[in-house]
Parts: sequence; C-alpha cells; structure tokens
Amino acid sequence: MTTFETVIGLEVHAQLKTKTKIFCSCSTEFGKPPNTNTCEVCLGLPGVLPVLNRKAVEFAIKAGLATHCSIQRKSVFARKNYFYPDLPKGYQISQYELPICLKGYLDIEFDGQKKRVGLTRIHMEEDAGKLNHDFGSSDVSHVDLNRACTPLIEIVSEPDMRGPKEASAYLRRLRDILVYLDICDGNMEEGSFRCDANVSIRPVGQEKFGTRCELKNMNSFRNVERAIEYEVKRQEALILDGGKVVQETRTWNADKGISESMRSKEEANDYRYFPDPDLLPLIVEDAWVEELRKQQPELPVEKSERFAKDYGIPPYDAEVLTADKAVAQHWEEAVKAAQGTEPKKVSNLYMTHLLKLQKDIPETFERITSSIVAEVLKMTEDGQISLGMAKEILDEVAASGKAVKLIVEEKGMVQVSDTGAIEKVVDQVLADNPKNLADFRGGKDKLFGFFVGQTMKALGGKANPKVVNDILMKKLKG
Amino acid sequence: MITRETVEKIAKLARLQLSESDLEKYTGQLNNILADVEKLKELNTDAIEATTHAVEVANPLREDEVKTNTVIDAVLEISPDHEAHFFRVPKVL
Repeated sequence: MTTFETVIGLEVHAQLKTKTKIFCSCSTEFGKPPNTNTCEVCLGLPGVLPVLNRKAVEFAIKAGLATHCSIQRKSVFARKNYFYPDLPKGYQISQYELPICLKGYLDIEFDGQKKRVGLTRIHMEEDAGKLNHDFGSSDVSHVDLNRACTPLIEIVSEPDMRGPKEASAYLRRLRDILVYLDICDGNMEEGSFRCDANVSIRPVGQEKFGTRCELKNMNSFRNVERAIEYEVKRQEALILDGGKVVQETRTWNADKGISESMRSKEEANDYRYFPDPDLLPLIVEDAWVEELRKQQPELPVEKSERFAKDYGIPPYDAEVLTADKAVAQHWEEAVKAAQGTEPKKVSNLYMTHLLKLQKDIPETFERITSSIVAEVLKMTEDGQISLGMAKEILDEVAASGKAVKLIVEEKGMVQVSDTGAIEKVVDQVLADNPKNLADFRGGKDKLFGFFVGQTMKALGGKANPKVVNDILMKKLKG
Repeated sequence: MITRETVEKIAKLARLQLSESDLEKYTGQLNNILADVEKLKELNTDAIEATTHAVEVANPLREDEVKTNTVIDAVLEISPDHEAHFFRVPKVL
C-alpha cells in the first residue's frame, strides 16, 4: 500500500492592534453599534482617498523583523477585485506583487523535535465588513462595516509542514510572537488571528506536490489540527479509491467534524489585481527599520533561553512561563523581589499552582502581584507558614483581593517556630504517652510519626514541622 | 489579441451587461489599446525600473489618531435598504 506524506502551508490573517483603521481615522474598537465606526473612506463613497496609517506599517515591519524577513524598501498596494456585500468598494486593498516583507522563517518545536518553517511573505491589507445572517427576516442579510478597513497582515508560510502537530506548533509560535510584539491580540475565537490551511498529500518519495485544498473556518488550534487530520484522511481515501483531489476551498464544520466543499464559482479566483492608483508606493527607509529593530522586545524563545540560563530553571519550566508575556514578566519580578528564594521554588509555585488558579480566576495575576508572591514565599522560607498555607493565602488573595496580613490574621495562620512553646508541648506529649515512649526507646522507630502527629495536633497544625522534628528527635532519645 | 470571449468574461466579472454591439465595439477598442502598447514595447526599457506612478513622492502617512465621523446616518438614509443601523441586502451565504 502506498504511504503518503502530508504537505501543509498556512496563511494567517492577523488583525493589527492600531487605534484606527488602515486607510482612514475611524476607530477599530470592537463591539460598537453597527456602522458607527465608519466614514466616507471605509464606506467606499466615491471621490475619497485612502491615507495609510503609519502605525500599521510599523506593526507590519515589526512582524517581519521578528520572523527574520527582509523588509522591502518599496512595496505597492494593489486592488483585489471581487463583489461581495461586505466589501463596499468592490475591491480589497492589499499587496500583491510587491509585499512589505519577504522570505523569513520561524523555528518551531513539536513532539521534542525542532524545525525551521519558511515564510514566503507578509503583506498588508484591509479587512472586510461583517455580514449578519441571523438578524430579522430570513431572506435578507445585514451588513455592518465597522470592521471594514481594519488593518491586517497576512503571513504566508512555505509548504514546509508535514503534519497537523507541526501546523499547530507553528501557529502557536507565530501567535506568541505577535502577542509579545503587542501588535495583535491573537484571539482565534474572536477572529483577530485567523488561519487558512493549504493541504495536499503525495506518495512518500515523490517530489512533486499533490493537488491542494484550502481549508477555512478553523477558529481554534484544536480545530486546525482536527481539520487537517480529516482532510488528509479524505484525500488518501479519495486517491486510494482511484479518484483525484480537486483543487477547491473547503470549510471546516467543527460540529460535524468534517470539511465541506464551498460552492466555488469558476471565476472566483480571478481577482484582476492591479496597483491601486490612489496609493503611492510605500517607501521604507533603512533608518526607519533600524529604529524599529532597536525597539523590538525580547521574544518568547530568547526569553525562555535566558530564564533557563540566568535563573537555572529547567527549560520546560522556562518555556511554560514565557508562553504568556504577562506571566513571564510577573514571574521574573517575583524572583527579583523574593531575594534569597531559589528561582526554582518560585517557578514551582507558578507551575503547580498559580497558572491553574489563573484559569479559574482571570484576575489572579492582577490581584496577586509579584511582590505578594515574594512576600508569601519569604514567609515560608522563614518558617512562618507552611507551603500549604502559602497556597491557601494566595487562593484567598486571588478570590477576594484581600491583603496577605489580613488573611493570615483572620485564619490564625501563624506557624509556631518558637522552640520554647514547642518544647513544652513535646514534654506534655511524652508525659501523656509513657508506653509508646518506652516502646520507641526499645527500638520501635516507627512510633516517631505518632509523636510528630500528637505534637502537631496539640499545636493546632501550626507548628513548623522542621522545628518539631528536631525537638522531638532530641527529647525522644532522652 | 483580445477576443470577444475575453471581453464577455471581463464584463461578467465587472457585473456589466453589454449589448452585442457594445461587445463588438469594446473588443475593437481594447485591441487598439493593446496595439499602442505593443508599439511602446519597441523601446528598450531594460535599465528602467517599473513604476506604478508617474512621480515618486514621499509617503503621505497618517498618525494613528481617532476622528469621529457621522456621515453614516446620511448614507443609510440614501441607501437602497437599511434596518437597525445595518445596511440590508438580499440574503448571501
């Protein structure tokens, strides 16, 4: 039986986090009443001229720099012509022959393997409006142009990926980078980070690519993996059955778990691109690029490597902690504030507790500031409270925002380390259990646990276990 | 050489309805334009970079500052159909 190899290329549309649209000064704010973020330009009224947003260009350059692209001195906006009700001008302004960024790459990791995925290009374009099909009468659609003309970058990869896992690893890495750059909020569900996949298969060893299908409508990393898995199986079955893959666009139906062919008119891809006469070529001088290069923040991979090296935490911890920029910053500040606490201990607290807590309580890292983490960890280091108590305190801070001191007082969470007080209790425990004491001294070492338990119980569980052990050890031996 | 079929296809893509005589006329006109371009191609332009505009002006870029605009109310008013501040169009899916 023929074994097939999967070939995947991805096209990502990322919405840029500018305040205004790409060619006009309308707000890009989400969730405004329909058509209120519009003007003559984005409504496509005759006689208006688009004027390019400087910030959008900067963001596109930043994305290019972070993905090792060569930034083009000259790029040209083109019109992509097609008719659809969400496209008021009858064309989308995009870049075609001369995009702003060319030839980059992204290093990804999946299943413990490393791989470099090539980027063909990054170009700038405007988004379309939004169609609402479920409002009012069933034989009409409603058009909201608030999103029309919102700046996008389209990031096109080479067909370098060989499986669904690679594809999602690439997407996650790309999203993390854009979020770190603070140029896109990376929300797949809300559509600010959208992905189309070109998928084909070929017999292993064959150089020529098979016929590809384009998959759309996958609004989560999981759905991208599922859709590609399904598509590969579909194409294999088709070919093994003696059929042929037809080049087409298919939409992923997450509920049914299948991809469905989209009715494609034969001229659907005849966009008749030509340079937009309303926009001059975009010239990006080297000085501008260098200025932006200086502003580039530390990216996830670099940060992760630095955390592992500078703080001596395991690479896995470093990677988890740096996936989210805000968490990474929070952690690093906590390490610095908790002078004297080993970074690995701080990392453990985040990995085993705080990251989970954040899933339940989104305000976790706002309420539990880095200095609170440091304060609580210091209390455990000093033996004032146990690690269990520390976690309990942090849960309470995350839930209520109360001050640590207040929680400690309210819960009476003071760990007794006062040796005098503990000694007294130990003496009492030994006096109350003469038989066990005799048995212990007679060689029944196991009874040590019994004495620890009794002592802790008498102290209401608040004693520092290390101090209790030391005192018991000394006294039991007599 | 532009054929009549090409003109029909372009007209369809541009949603233009052309009469028989229009088709005839435009096929001829488009071929005349192409003939003129052919003539220009006789010039050697190997050393000249292709341009999309006749003059190269510095980028007129805009700062990222919001301006409010209320033209939408007037636009909805003169639009063929609207409802609840949406444009209303025949069902598309």
